[in-house]
Amino acid sequence: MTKNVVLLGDKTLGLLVRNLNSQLKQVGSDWNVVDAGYDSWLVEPLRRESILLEKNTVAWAFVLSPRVMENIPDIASRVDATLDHLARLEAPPTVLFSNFFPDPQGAMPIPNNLEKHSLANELNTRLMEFRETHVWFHVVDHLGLALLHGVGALCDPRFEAVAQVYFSPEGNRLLSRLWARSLRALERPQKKVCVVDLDNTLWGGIIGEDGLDGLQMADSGSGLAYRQFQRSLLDLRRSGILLAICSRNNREEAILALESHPDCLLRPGDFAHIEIGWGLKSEAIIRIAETLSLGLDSLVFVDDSPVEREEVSHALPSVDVLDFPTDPIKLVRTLNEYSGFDTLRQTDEDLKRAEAYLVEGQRSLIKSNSKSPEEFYRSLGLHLGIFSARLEQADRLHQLLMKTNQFNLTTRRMSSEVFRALLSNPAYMVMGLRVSDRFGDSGITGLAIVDQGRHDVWTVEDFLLSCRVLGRTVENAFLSWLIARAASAGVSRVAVQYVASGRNQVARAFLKEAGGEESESGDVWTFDALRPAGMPVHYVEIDESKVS
Amino acid sequence: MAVDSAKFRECVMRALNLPKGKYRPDLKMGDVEEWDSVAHLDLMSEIEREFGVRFDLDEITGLTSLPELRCRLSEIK
Repeated sequence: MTKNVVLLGDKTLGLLVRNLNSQLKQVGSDWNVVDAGYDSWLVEPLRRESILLEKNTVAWAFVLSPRVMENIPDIASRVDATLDHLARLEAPPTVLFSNFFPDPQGAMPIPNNLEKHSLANELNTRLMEFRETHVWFHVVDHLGLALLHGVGALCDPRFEAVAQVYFSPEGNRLLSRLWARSLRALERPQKKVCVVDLDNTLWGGIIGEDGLDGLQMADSGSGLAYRQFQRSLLDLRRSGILLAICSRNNREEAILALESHPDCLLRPGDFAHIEIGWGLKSEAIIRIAETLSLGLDSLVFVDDSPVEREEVSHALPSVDVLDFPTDPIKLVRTLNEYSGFDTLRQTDEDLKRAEAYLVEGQRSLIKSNSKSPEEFYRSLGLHLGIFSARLEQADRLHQLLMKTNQFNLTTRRMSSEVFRALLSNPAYMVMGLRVSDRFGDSGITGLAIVDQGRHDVWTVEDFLLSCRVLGRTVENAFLSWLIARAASAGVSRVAVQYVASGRNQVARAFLKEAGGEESESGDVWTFDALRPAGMPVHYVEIDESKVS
Repeated sequence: MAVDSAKFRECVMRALNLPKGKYRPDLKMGDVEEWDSVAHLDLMSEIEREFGVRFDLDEITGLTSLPELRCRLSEIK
């Protein structure tokens, strides 16, 4: 279905609309960009503009130029008024808002420029504060674009004079790339793992030939390219992307370099999984995906060798293989221009993900030391918090809905607007699951959407768990809780929907083991709520105090 | 200097996103729906980039037909 995003600006945005639509169409996006005309970003036009309220309009994009800071004396209160208007909307759309940068061309004397910078800072702080408290509000980084390319490269007074456009045709090409990536980030699941090679990728040189001392990754000279690449990888890791190594090398030798090379910024502990050996890289990458319980399409592969890249992209077409630049100094730019890791917002869970996988290693250790699965589960001290979903958690829950592939009963994707509407629909019970054990809190890692509109049967339309908490009987715990709750509400059956996606076999196996009765067509599994004998076994302490 | 016809034609078709068969050497702004005032800006910027020239303000607003545009290009190149 086509989704409209309406552009609201201070200047004419016709060029941007045209460029964006053609770019989005090329990549098969569902977005359709509509122009609301100039000066449409202020409160009065926002009240009037009928296109904003059309059914297909799901996002509003505010694209402002630096001219607003020069032309509108009370710009701060105008921005506040617009934000206030957005905050009061009954069902707010997804909003994207460009941040501010000053245009220093022509400002004299110097102190005037300093004042402009302060004003832009102040406005940007307001946007970030608003973003903090409104999950549907995202900031698009115009300032970063201006710093990268220069204001002079973005605007051209000749075009501004003839057509009331701030961004020149050239500037518009750069601008539309930024906006296309931002809009795509809203509709595409983000990649989760960056898999890197070692020799001539993570560092310069080949450890087997050049030795430990011959490796280049220092802060100057030919090592600089690799040093910067390592810094970018650390940035990715900090934002919740997992790192992994896939290298053909002697394991001990390579690990030694990672552990002890004085210039290496990344240490073995920074990687969620390390594959070093002499086998095929495609096989090593499959092992990485399996160890991390992630689908192959969550992985991105970076390797300097065209042969390895070809082998991986041929054997594993769902893995994104980056084009490696001929000059390693361009590595960072290659990573920058790659859009698979794009996201407009990081949830708390994203930020904790890398740590969570380290803890997972410790859990596996107890598992191998435990005599029985039961002893293992009990020793974990599992705790499941079930809560009625509220708007504050909608962002994280919707992200789970879009990203989870394996333990996902129906793999139903929906826009965040549709999801938010479900939260306030009284016929539905939308529940989030929070899992913790003695090693830590995994955060919000599960979701269930239950249709309670009928008095005799509850229908589970969606049930999913992040693979991070799978295999600890949490799924059984939730199902038994739901069945018991249905029984106490006088509901006789719980019907669980199932749609095979090719990747969620684990979910079907769960329904079968839990004692459900499969319908002839295989798309519904029914549980008898009044016959508790069939309850699936679990070792989890359940807290339902936050279910309303 | 003479203007490379093939290069000129290609540049115009790309900038205006013109389908095959719609190009005519005597085309003016408004003759085809693809050449509107927005596309005109792209055309000017594309010609500047391809041919390494720079138009002034009057030229950007005034050069609204292909014959005029070619003629001016051959003068300043």
